[in-house]
Amino acid sequence: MKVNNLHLIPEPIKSYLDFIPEPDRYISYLFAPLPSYIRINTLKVSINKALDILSRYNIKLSSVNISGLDSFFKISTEEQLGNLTPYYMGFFYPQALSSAFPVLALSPKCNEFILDLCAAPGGKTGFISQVMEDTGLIVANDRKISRLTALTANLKRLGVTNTMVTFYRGENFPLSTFFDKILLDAPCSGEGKYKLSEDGRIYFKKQGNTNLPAIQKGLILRAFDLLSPGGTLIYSTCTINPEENEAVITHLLKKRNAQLISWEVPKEVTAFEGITEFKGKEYDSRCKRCRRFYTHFIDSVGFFVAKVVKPK
Amino acid sequence: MEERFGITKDIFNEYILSASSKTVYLIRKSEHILRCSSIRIQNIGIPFIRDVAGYLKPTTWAVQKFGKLAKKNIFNIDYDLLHTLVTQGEIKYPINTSSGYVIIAVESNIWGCALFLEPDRLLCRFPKALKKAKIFETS
Repeated sequence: MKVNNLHLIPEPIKSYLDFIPEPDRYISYLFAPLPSYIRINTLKVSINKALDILSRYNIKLSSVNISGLDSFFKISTEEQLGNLTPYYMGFFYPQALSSAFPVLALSPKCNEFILDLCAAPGGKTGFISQVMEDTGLIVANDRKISRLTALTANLKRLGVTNTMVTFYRGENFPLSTFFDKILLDAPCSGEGKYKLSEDGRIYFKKQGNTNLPAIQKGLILRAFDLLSPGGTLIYSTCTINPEENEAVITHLLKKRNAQLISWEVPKEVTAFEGITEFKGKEYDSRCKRCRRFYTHFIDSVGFFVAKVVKPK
Repeated sequence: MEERFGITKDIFNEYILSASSKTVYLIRKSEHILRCSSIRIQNIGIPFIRDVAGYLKPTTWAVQKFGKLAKKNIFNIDYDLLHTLVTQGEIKYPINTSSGYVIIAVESNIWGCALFLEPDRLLCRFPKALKKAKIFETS
């Protein structure tokens, strides 16, 4: 599909083609399914042992070959992964490759005190715990009780013992405790997951008219206020929409004394700078330090990641 | 755990146990736990031991995490026997131990607990989800 068949490309995707690099290739990608990935849970099993066990099913695995993501594998199979014994044993977790990038940016260390403000269903929380070798303390929060059930079940199955689960609306999380690091993987429109049918219909489009940017702005301000001085906040979404990404970062920079910093993406991953203008709206020039990951470059869900530090 | 499985107390020095009415939870010890004293907590760590009909049973998650450290009452079975235990709920398995919970492993992967009743009844006590999971076909 060429970009010159623009009439078949629906909004909002069409409006993004001005800033998405190699838009022809991006459009082609929208018509093909994304590959699946899993993370081997090294809290419970070694990578080699897990690969041996999984080889006995009709499963093909290939390493992603990205620094810091040794436990991630591209998977090809007809099996229903959630029905397999190794899944129930907590040996692996189905997880989009790009969902690991916010955790890489967070760079969790052993014995730290970390808040995952919108944690459910727990894929990133589980990966954070794995990187921390199940030490320190993670507070995993979510605002919906049904999602909390899934979060708790996943953490149990993965053998994560360094986590407490809380049930607050993120923007109301109590300001009585301050964290070394915070991950805010905000609720978003999920445009990074969009796929197109041949007649231009969008698959995986979320329904509803929620004012997501307003929610995201409330969340990021509370997340920043929960940081200890010198602490790090990672804001991430799986959407392309600048109104949910750079606009939210710009809001934070206007309202708080926050430092937006660049972070070193693994050299094997292609990332792009944040944008500073969209549809006539200008964003803070520092937004160039944000990182955009597009589906046709990373072969996974599109993501946005910003790294913010609270001055001491 | 020490009396039945030979998992010595010092293994749990890095953890804190916290009890509710029916369940004891296990969470990794951390200096940061006290910083959460003013936060309303819904869940901590993993369930460790449950009161089941008046008897203390280690949870599947606890056994999967610490079972490899067991020095007694841990039994390795093959996949065919595991399949029978899971599908029929009970097998004849004469072992030299007293009635009580035992740890079941297959190829040294810890599956969970079964209940052994002398002289030779082994009853499946795996969670429902684990019982329904696909065990690959052995050739």
